[in-house]
Amino acid sequence: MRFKKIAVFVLLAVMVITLMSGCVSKTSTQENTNTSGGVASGKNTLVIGALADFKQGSGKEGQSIVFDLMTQRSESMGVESGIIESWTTNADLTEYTLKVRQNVKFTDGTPLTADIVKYSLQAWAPYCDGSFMYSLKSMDVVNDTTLDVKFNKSYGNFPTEMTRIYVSLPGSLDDKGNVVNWVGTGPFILDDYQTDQSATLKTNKDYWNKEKIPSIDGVKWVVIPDENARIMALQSGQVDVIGVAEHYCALSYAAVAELKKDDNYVVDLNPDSGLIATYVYNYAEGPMKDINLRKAVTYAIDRKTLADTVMSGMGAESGDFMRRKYDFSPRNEKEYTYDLDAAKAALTAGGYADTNGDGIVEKDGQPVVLRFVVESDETARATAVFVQDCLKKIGIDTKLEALDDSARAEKEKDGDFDIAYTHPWLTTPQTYMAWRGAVDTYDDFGIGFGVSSNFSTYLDEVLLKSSKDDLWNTFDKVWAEEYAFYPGTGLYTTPRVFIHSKDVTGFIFNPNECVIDLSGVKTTGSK
Amino acid sequence: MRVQAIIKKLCTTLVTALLVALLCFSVMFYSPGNPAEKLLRYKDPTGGLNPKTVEMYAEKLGTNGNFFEQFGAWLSGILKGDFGTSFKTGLPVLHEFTARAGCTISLMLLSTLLALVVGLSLGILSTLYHNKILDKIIRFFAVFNMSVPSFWLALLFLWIFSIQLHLLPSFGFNGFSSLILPVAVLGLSYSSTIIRITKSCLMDNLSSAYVVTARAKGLSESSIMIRHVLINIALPIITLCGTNMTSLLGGSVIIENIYGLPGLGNYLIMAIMVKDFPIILGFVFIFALFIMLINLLVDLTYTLIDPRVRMAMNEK
Repeated sequence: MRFKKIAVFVLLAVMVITLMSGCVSKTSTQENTNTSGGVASGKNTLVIGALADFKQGSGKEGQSIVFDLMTQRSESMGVESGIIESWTTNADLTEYTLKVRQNVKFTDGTPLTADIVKYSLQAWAPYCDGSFMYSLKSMDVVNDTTLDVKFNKSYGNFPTEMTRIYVSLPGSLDDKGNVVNWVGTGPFILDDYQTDQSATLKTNKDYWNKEKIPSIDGVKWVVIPDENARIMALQSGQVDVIGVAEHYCALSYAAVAELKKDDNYVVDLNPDSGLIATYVYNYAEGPMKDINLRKAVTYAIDRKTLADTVMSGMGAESGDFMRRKYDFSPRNEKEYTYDLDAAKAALTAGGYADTNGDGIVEKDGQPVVLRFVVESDETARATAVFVQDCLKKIGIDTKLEALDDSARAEKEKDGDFDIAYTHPWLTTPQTYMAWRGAVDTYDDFGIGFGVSSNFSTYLDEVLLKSSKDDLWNTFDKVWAEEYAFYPGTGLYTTPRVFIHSKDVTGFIFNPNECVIDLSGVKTTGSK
Repeated sequence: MRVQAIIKKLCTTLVTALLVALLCFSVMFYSPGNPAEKLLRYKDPTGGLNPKTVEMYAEKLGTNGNFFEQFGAWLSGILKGDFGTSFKTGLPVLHEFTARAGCTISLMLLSTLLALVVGLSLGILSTLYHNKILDKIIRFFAVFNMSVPSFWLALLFLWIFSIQLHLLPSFGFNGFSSLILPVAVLGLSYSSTIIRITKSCLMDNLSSAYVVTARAKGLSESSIMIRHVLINIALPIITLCGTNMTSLLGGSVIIENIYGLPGLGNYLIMAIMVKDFPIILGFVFIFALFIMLINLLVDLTYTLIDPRVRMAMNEK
């Protein structure tokens, strides 16, 4: 009997151990072993602490160091050549002739051809905001280096949309847009990958863009989802840099401010570029239909104190919708500022007054209580609470809802808000116009910025025109109407942040926030 | 336990797992958010979202069907052994599970083992030195452990052993050394309850008649403790271990996050955020099966340890 008990226990233990060992699988894949390039190990390897997995994290940062983009963004958010060396177009922007860069090879030796560019444009477009595909008439390969693209209507935004599309080998994307073949033309070669843990890349010493060949031997991408653990990994020297792998600041700004005080680390900020955190007002229905109320809310927000406190001084105040250093930004408009007197004057002009002395203004006997919908992350909530307080000072009450992304999106889609977080104007305003800048319908970021019937005309002009002067003229009209209408307001700039040890230098902020540029990085310490 | 009872339990397990999956799918299906939109936004968070693209993608994913169509498609796949592929990665659900299960199961088993060893040892010591200084220290340790959040303990251990002393790695799953800190955190957290249960049960048993008889027969205290008393307090402790294991199976998401472990919990959270239905359904179904299996093993252990339970089963 005793022997039987022991036997059963042993059997159970064997089953459990077998199950456990059968399940233990470090999913490590060796990739690209037959390519040129340096060895991604040893002293000259950059170790990046990342929030998300190399392949499965969002934002395409991982893709940006293996693949190349069709075209590139310039510092002013214009379009420069990339894999597409040059392009010409006809007068009405319905036909483009793309010249594919010559002498470019994939890291497995496959030469880049127009056929491959055609495949890439068609395969990547649905997953990279490539709306051009819905106006596409034909795409014909003329020869190995020339591709003719024809549209059903004028499509001036095509070069800009190509700044989001990578070039990759046929079959590299599956039918759901997932990258299944990581062979690219880019500056790094994926050598090893462990799911949710790390990726090892070696430098592509034969990279076609000689000015951008990295001087480091390789990169190790390690996944550390927790913010505190990521900072500790930097402090212990286990990683060289954090923040590079995300297209936004994935650390709390308070933590960044603390690290800035520490002389052992270098905090690189890009204060001059990027997006502006923005609120939108429900100007189509409810109390915010009244322009006086919209003005009052806009002028009541103390953006400087907001940036200094909530952003711990990392961001800067901004009452604009878009940074003025970029092409087609609001160059002629005065940005919204903090002006309590103007806010109160707007309320008075609108007939709002606190008749019963409870601190809240009323109109037609109804107190002004605004539905305020934001995301639930720390910075968004802190910002909203601050703004709530600002509005209280002029007698506007708010009902704040800080919701998870799905719930927030649904609420905004239903128009169930008066003030809400919205997606900032993109750094290529043409793309934003095409997306939601020309309509006044509700979507998961609130209401569009098409504040009048003129905006459909402006959109046609944007898509039709390719000359910079013409586009500037159109956007001057866009911004003039936007700023006069008060559809929402900018709050503060949201900088990207790289934090690295002093052993590493040369980080560059690429104008495309999803592109990691390690071409200038030099490591001086040992690992 | 008879073979028929085991087979009956396994069938009940399967049905329960399917019902759990149905309930989970219902919650996900009717919650706000469109999977196609979420996944497209995930793939390109800084771009716009063309409604035609969303429609095209929903058709590709198969998420434009109604509730019964979508669940029915999944169910028919399950019956053929096909768990489907992840919306987010395109990889088979089972592949995504096995890629991460090793880490979570290792963490689960080692943490439970540590909790058991620490809990039993300190529980016995606390009993033997009842009301002495050692007992007070152990009781304080148990209460402290129960009060302190595990994430705080995790960060503290990380700071001490990895950052300050450079003894252990701070992230990743590369061998046994990378599991030491997370296992220590989870094991110590779960040991507190075992300490208290062990002490409580021992105090009850040590004053009972069979222990007096054993002492009268001249058995040593250690012999009484190991051969008689521990067996009698095993059932509640085994139950507790089973409960700990089932809660750890879902993955300790916070610990996985802090230590950068490629576990199931963290991955499931990401799948829920983007409404990756095949992953959510597949994982929940597998979890339900595992939990039932753990409960079955606990029941089997009861019958092996306690002859009274065995006799009662046989009479049934």
